[in-house]
Amino acid sequence: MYWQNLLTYPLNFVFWRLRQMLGTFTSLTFWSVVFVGTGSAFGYDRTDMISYIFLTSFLQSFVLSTLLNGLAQDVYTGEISNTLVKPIRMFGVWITQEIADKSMNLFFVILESLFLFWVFKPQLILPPTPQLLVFLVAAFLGAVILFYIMLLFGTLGFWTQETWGIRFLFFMILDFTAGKLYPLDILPELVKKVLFITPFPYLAYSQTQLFLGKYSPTEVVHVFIALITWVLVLAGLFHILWKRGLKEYGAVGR
Amino acid sequence: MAHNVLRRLSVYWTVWSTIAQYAWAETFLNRWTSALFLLGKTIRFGMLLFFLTFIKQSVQTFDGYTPDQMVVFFLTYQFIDTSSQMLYRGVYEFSRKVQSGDLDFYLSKPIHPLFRILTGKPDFIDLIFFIPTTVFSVYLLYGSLVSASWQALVGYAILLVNGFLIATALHILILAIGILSVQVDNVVMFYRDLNNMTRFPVSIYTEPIRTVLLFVVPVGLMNTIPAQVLLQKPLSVPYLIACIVGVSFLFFSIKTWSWAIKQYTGAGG
Repeated sequence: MYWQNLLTYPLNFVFWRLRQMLGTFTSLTFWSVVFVGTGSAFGYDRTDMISYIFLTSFLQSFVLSTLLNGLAQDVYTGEISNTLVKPIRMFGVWITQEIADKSMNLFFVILESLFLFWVFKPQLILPPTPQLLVFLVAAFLGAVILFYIMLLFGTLGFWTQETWGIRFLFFMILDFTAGKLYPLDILPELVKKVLFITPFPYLAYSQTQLFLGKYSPTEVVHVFIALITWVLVLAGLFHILWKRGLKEYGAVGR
Repeated sequence: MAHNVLRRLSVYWTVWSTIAQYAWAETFLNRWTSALFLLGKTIRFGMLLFFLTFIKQSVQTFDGYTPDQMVVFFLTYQFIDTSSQMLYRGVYEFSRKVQSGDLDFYLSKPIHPLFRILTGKPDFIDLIFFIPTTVFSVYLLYGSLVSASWQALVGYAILLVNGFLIATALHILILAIGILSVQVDNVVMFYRDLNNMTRFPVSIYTEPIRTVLLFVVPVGLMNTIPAQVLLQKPLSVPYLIACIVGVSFLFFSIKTWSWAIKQYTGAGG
């Protein structure tokens, strides 16, 4: 049903997919041009940087896609009552929607990546199976982190209608901190330290580094501790706030 | 004749200023949202500026430009992008008006519907953002502005106006697409993403992308050429051609709008 809904407005859909590609195309072009004038920059050569940007963009299309942007609005307009009164679990509905959305994204991002691969020819070597598995698990945990962040934004709808501003701010920060335009390790030490106490680097940047084999075994453990901690903290916070929110919920307009 | 024109202009001014007053009040009604939007825009502006300044450490030239010169391209983009968003925010909500049939109400009123839709929701958050960032941009561009010849300065000013006309034309075309397809949301964001590509000089892109950005969706003419003129660098497209394309594009967009509005059937009404 979700796929059918999405294709109801085909032009919108085509432009949406084109938009996903443009950002990646710009970043890849930017760095390709940088390396025309220099052999290496910030410890990266052209091959490393192009591979990095390519992978991060691929991963972001999967991890950062979500259908939960409208949850807060559904809460404060009373729209969620339609689901709450049904004999189904709200959480199950969200998960199903997210799986439908991410599978759709994954399908198209593979097609688009083939085109970008043909244009920029990144040198991607598939890592050994254990490393690949570690990467896949980390990518899944990154998606779970974003899922809970979006749910937390949704819970705001129980207390205020002003929810769009905070999401806008989040996505603005995400734009520059998830590592799509540049790898975070080129940033000054202080900026890096601040960034790594937030969940942003754990959405796509760390996973890309895992795939490229840039982390030592100890660093891999640290990344997983951080990923699991963020999942637990955000999930705990969400369940507390959602329960409190439901107690205050007035089903406005119903 | 002149009296009638002035009377008409005064009617349009009254309509727009009334709408602007409501938009102003709305900005302060949702204080937190407005503050967070402003913060988000400032972070986006600051982060890219920081990035362009920061890459100086490792990158000496970028397609023949120094990182400092790259900042000129970014600030020019920022100026035209923010000024057009400030005035034409109504375009972002247009699809809902077509889908719901609310567009009918605009068509039945004695004000040109294009004017009403295009300028019908001035964005004061952008205005609040625009003023300090423009002052800051002038401060950052001071060196380039001082070292530029007066011809380059006049050329830069004319091309900024030309860029604004192109931005206007593109917003009108988006509205026309909205009428024909009842879908604008991703079209307008697609335009924004294309425009984002010209935060860097359009000459970095390979063909046919470069030609698309210069002549099909001329965001390259809008942002790159003015900066090249100010920096007195070789132009990707001659100055005169940029102006001719800009003005022609505006006429083309108005013609397209006029044709598209005749196809409107009152979808939701």
